Amino acid sequence: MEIVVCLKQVPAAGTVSIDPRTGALKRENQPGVVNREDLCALEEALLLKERLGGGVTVLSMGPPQAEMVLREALAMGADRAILLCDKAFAGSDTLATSHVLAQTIRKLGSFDLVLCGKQTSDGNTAQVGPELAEHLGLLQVTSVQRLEVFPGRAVAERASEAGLQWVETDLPAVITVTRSINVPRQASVQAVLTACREREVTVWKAGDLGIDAGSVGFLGSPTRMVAASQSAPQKRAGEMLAGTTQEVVHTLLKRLRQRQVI
Amino acid sequence: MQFKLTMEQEIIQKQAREFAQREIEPIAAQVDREGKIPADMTQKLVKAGFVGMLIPREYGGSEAGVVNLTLVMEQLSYPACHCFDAAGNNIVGRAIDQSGTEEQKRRYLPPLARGEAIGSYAFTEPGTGSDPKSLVTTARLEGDSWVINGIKRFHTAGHLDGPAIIFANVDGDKTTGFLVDKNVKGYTSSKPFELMVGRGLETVDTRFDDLRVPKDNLLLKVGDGFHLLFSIVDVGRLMIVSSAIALAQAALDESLKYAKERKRRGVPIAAMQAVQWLLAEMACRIEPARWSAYRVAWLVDQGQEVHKESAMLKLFASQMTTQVANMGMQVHGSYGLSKDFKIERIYRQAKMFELTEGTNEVQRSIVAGSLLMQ
Repeated sequence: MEIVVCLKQVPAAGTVSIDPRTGALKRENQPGVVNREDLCALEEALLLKERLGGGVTVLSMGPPQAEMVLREALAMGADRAILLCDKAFAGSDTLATSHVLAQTIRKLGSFDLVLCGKQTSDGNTAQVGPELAEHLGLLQVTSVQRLEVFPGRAVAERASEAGLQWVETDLPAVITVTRSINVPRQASVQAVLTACREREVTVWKAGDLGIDAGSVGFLGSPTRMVAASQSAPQKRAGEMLAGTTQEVVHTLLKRLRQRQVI
Repeated sequence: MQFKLTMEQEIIQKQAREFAQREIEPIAAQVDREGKIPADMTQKLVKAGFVGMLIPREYGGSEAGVVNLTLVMEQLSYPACHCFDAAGNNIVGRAIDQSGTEEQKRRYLPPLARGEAIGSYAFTEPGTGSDPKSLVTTARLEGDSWVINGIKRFHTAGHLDGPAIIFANVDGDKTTGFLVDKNVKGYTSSKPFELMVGRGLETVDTRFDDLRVPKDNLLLKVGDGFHLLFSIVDVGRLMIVSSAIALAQAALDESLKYAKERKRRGVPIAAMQAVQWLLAEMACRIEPARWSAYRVAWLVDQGQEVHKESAMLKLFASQMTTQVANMGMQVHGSYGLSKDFKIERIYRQAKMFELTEGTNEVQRSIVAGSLLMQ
């Protein structure tokens, strides 16, 4: 089974700030980490590889320092890593990004499954996975929290606002996963050293993918940032419930029902 | 000159940070309270690759180097809990790799890298701290064996199975390093000391009564003990410093968090200049210690001798940590005395760094001695 996993380097939690001039996220000199749900997608791919054989190719589009997330993926067990890095890609919105990823996957040739995280912690759009499926003309299942793969098909459990759904799909398909699907493994020091010192990360530019510079980056992105602002998380005052345990539980249930939580 | 971690170093640092958050932080207060390390901790550290970082690949280690180990130790120490001994096996493994025979390397390094053996080293005795001239443990050659007699004090992990490097005098004053299998006939250890700090990582007295060690278990030559000792404690000090810096950083982070939450007349105390100055002082003192530590680690990886540099670093960084922990307590006010706050544990543990691996007075003597010899 050949699996492609898309990874994005995002700012580490608590380090995100917005450039007041451009309204864009400030990424320079920020510690970058692999987006958590992408890491879960990689873990799922590695588990499938261990069970069914085959190979895992990881892709990341980003600046040169995004190589780090690919090295981490190699240390975890990915077989091949490709960095999509070109100044022409800078400023790409989800449509342009998914176009670049789709061109890359087409160039890779045959594959059985594309796995992505449901959404990233910086953009939070959850658009790249579905757009990638549309570009490639593939079936898609999003927000998957459990996945079973069989020859030529997959059964996925997906979480939606309405409840749980079980979806069967033919392969190849694009599947986006949530963080509840698994707990990603941690690579050992030995594996990190091997990944950094001995393994190769292929770099492809727009020209390598046959992409016209006008179809990606700022030029190829219909999304326009009108304004951006940073707000501190709102803390609400808590309420201490008083009384006996029975009274407290009764009051708590009442409040939860009032707010339609249960 | 490039003041930047490499990609490899950044990833290893991140792996260690995540390991500490996942495996150590949740149990830190409990280990400190009960003094017991979870039984599976060593194997978790082994699986993550933190135990054999200074052991060559051919013997099961990763040869990650001292800079990488320094980064790992710093992250693992951040929860302020001594529930690991990643440093011991690395330091003993490095000493055996650098000073041992091929036979010794084949025998001792693989189990150290796998965490099946716990390495330790012991110089201090009841009658001597860091004064090499006062060593009274002796070793005499009888046939094919060395016969060792004496007592070692504050021998960390001295009771756990594995190799120990023991320093003893041969023919009166020829201080020599021996590789000793712990817990064999003639080797006994006391109950662990009840210490104010370092609870979890146990420290014992070990006693040698006609302990017989094969003739070949010598490290280097008779009389080369100090050369061996210095190469061990220079890296040992670096490990101590890595932990000290982590503790100071934890003190700052806890203080920042507290200062933003704690209100006085409805305003967070972080708005008060008196508190801001404390926070600024703490940050300013941590930064140079951290970069000095990375530099000394880099020098070791370049194969340079760092006896003076590691003493300077340990003196500076350990003082910095007690000062920063003290400032953290001031930020916390009386709440800092409560065990419900991490700063209490940090403050209590901070003192250790000024005392272990040679007191700071010893570090001053080393630095002064080096200056006067130049």
